[in-house]
Amino acid sequence: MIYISMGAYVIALILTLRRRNRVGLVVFAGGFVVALTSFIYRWIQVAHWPMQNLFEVFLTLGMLSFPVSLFCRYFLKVDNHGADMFIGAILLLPAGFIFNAEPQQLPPALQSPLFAPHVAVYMLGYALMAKATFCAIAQLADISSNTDLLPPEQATYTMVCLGFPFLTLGLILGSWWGKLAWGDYWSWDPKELWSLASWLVYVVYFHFRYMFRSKHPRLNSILAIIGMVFILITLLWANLSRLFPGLHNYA
Amino acid sequence: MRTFENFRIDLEGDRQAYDAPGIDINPAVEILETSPGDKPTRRFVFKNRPGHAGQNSFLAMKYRREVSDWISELKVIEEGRIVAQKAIEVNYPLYYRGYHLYQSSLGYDSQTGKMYTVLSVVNNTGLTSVYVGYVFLSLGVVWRFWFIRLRKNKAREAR
Repeated sequence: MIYISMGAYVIALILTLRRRNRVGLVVFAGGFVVALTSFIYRWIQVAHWPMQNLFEVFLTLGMLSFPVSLFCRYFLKVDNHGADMFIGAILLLPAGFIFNAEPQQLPPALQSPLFAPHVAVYMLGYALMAKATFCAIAQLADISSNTDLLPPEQATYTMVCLGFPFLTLGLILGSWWGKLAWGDYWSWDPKELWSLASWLVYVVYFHFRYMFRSKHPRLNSILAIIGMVFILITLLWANLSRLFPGLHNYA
Repeated sequence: MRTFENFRIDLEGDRQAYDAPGIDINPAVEILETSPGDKPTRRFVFKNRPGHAGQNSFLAMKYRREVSDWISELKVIEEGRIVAQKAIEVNYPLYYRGYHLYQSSLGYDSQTGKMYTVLSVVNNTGLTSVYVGYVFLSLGVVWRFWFIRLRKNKAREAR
C-alpha cells in the first residue's frame, strides 16, 4: 500500500509539472487516501498510536503531507503542491524501503517515550523547511504565482516561521532525552552540533530579514536554502559518514 | 522444552535428538511452535549456527541474542540508613540531592568470570535553570512564530 501511495504521489508530481494541476491534485488526494488507509490499518494491527518506531513515523509523515499542503494553501496562502508531492514521496521512501515494518528490539538507549516525539517533531520541521526551500528557489527563479497567494519571498518566511518552532522543540526534546539517557543535556555529538548549526542558520535568517525586510530578497532566499543544506548534512552526512563517530550512530 | 549442551541428532529412523557429552559445544534448545488449528511443530534453535538449515526444515530457526535492557538495583546509604532506593535502567536514572546516577553499560570480566555493571554519576545542581530556560524558549518561539505570525496572515487576508 505504501508503494501504491508513493506511486500516486509521483504521478501527481509529474501531472503537476506538466501543468495538469487539477488531475494532479486528485491523484495526490488518492495517494493520501491510500496512505491514510495503511496508517489506520497499521494502528489496528499494532493496537497503539503508530508512532513508536521509525517505520511508523515516516508512514505518518508521508500521510500528513497532503493535509499539510491543504493547510498551507488555504490558511497560510502558500501554494506549492508540486513540492508537497515530492516531499510526500521522499518521506514514504524510508518507510517503504529502508525501515523494517516488523516490530523489533530497540537498543536500551532508544527505549524511551521521548523517542517518537523527538524524531517526529524533527521530521515535521524538516519537511516544512523543505517546503520553505522550494519557495525560496521559486523566489530566486522569479516564478510569480496567483494574485491571491503570498509572493514567494513572503511564502518562504511563512514556511520558515511554521517550521522553526518544530526545530526548536526537537532540539529541546533531544536535550532532555540526552540528560535522561546519557547523563548530559549536551554531549557535543556531531549530530547535535549540526542540528544546532542549522537552527542557528535560521536564526540568522530571521535577524537578517528583521533588519532589512525585503530589501535583499535574494539574500533572504539564499539564507533559507543554506539552512536546508545544513539540515541535509545533519540528516545524512552526520550519520552516513565515518568522519563523525558519535552517539547518534543508530539513527 | 529441552536444552542441550552438545546437540546431536539421528537423521535416520525417527530422528531422535540427544545430548552428547561435552559442555558448550553445540548448545541448542528445543521449542514447540504452535499455531491455532495446527499440530505443534518441533524445532531446534542453535546458539552457534544462526540460520543453520532451510526454511521448511524442522531444524531451522535463528538464535539471536540482543540486550533488551541493563538494570541495577541501587541503594544510597547515609549514616547507615537507606535514604534512596531504585532499580535504575537506561533512560531511567536515580536522582538524589543533585546527584544523578545512570545505568551506563554492562560488561563481562573474563578473568573473574563475573558480570559487572557500569554506572555513571553526574552532579547537575543547576539543571533546573536550564530546563526553565528551555520552557521559556519553547513558549517564546511558539508564541512569536505561530500565534503572532498566523494572526498577521489572517489580518492580511481580511484586508
